[in-house]
Amino acid sequence: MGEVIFWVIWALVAVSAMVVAFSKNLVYSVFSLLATFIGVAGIYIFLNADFLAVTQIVIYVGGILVLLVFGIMLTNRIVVAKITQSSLQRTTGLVVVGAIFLVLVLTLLNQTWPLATSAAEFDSTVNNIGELLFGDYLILFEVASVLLLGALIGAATLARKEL
Amino acid sequence: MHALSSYLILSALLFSLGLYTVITRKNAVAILMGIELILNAANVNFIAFSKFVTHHVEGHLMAVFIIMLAAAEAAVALAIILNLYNDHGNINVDEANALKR
Amino acid sequence: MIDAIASWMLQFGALNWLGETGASLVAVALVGITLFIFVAANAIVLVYVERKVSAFMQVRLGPMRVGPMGTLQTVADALKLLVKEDIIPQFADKVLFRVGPWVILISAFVAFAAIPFSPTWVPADMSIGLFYVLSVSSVVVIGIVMSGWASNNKWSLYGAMRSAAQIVSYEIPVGLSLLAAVAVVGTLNLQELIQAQAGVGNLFHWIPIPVPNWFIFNNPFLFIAAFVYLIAATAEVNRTPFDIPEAESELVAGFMTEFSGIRWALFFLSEYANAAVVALLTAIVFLGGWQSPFPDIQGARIGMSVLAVLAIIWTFYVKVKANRLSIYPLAVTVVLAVLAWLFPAFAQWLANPGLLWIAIKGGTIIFMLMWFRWTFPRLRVDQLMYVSWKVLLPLAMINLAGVAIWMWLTGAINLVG
Repeated sequence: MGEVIFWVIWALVAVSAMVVAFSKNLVYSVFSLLATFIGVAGIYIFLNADFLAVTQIVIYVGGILVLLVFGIMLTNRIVVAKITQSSLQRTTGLVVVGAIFLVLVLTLLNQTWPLATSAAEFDSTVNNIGELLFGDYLILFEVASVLLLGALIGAATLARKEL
Repeated sequence: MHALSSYLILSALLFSLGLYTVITRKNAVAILMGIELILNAANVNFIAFSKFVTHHVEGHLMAVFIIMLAAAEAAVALAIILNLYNDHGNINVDEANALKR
Repeated sequence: MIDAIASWMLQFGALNWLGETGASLVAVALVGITLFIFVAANAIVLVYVERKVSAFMQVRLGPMRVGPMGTLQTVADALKLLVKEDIIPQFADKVLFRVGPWVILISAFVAFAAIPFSPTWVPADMSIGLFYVLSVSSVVVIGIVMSGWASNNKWSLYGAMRSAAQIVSYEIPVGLSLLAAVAVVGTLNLQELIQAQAGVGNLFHWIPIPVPNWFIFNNPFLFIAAFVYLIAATAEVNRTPFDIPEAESELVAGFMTEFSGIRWALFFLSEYANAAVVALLTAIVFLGGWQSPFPDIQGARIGMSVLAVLAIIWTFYVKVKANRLSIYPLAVTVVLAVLAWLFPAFAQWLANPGLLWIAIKGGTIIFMLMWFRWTFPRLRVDQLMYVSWKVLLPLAMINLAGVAIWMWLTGAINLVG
């Protein structure tokens, strides 16, 4: 059963990411990103990353996606429910990106990865992540908090009408 | 269970689609969406490797920091996009070739 | 819980053909259907209760015609909504218009998966239960924006934008005030959170008043955090006095303006499901969840007697102040206290943890939400943002720091883990 669910989520992520990339309607793109983010959270659960799956939903769906939707609604003269978007150089882009994708897939399929030998699953990652975050990675954590504060102030300053 | 490659192929697909979005879209918000796809692809890779290769949660920490950076980046980018809209009346990046009008 | 049901089903020879996978699938379906029936019944009952409560607060009768005391009114309303014509505005975005209400309902519904209803009855006992409930509740905002956008109506869009701004701002005080409780207990698992609140102790550890070991009484900062959480959560589920997204005097009905029939019923279901999640989460994190307030038989007897004495004082107070005899609280508590003294089995039942207590606590919180709704006037948009960013957020941060300092001073360590 887990196998079936995994491939359903895999397909959900793939299809919704394609809608994001190829849809002519900007609004469909952004709401399709919702499915991508939730699907990626599901993929995390299959990778035993419970904490990250939930973090992904909180920050990506509850934060970033809302910001993107706001961005769309504030930067368009809204007349109809559909916002068409145009693209440049679709064919060239498709060829280049397709080539990159092929190279990536061929590389990773031909590579032998040094797989971990221990089969033990980690149970819950919250405790480990917390200890590392306030231990080995404390400086990185503090720097990230300063960065977030800077981003907050910067965004608030930039978004004001008069600079 | 599923092999490592199934995750890596998904990640490669997300990365390619994100890259395609970034290089072909004109709308700045759409480009931002492409960047989010690319960051998600990186996260999937980090976590997949941390389960299958290193078997340690340090990969998860990288993903936590990436998510944090994505949040900061989205906020600042949207502020810039709003300014772009105020100055130019649209947010098509191919027309934004002057710092101010 | 899922595993327990699955293995219980496999004990019967007639169900052996299911196998392990089939049994767990059936168990998941059973639990899901039960929860869905609970959510639907919850909405139907709460709509009736809300109408009655509002009626009594405004000295009216409320629904009286359908069924005894109008109890079948909401059932009739639900039937009416189900058979109504399904209208989609001509210039609406058809796909998003259909999907939006479901996104809201599903995100409200899946939050119940982690809620422990009794010591054994928890659909999924997750190690990150509290964080999970918070995260899935934050998906609601996308559904609201989706519905508001798809309606292609300016009131809907205004409502959706207001709602998005409001939910995103109030998530932060909600998270920080819950984090204060998590800092005390050291776990995100809701069952362990409740188990840490067993027994009776002193108020704030050193004031010699015996109170249950709930987190609201654990230290002064958590006492404030409980109220910060309740206020911020009221705003997060868009209930009055924070219901500017659907402010009917300004925005018709906000993001639900264009919706009718079954889709509108979905909004109602999710609104009351959200209210129930908030009430249950308050009960779990701050009020001890399914823990009984009484430690044992003697505690139940004494506790009920204290309640009866309080009810007597209250009755006299109302009689003197308002010259009105409110007999019901007095009668109920006195009868319960007498029963507890007469029958040890009844007192024991009161002291047992279980579904009864979380229902009473959650019901009280829901009543408080209704009380807010029919008492306070609606805030303006700027006042709303002011309350969130300049009052609740600093308060929640001070609380978090205060809890840390309190734990350092009293030498307390995490109760779990």
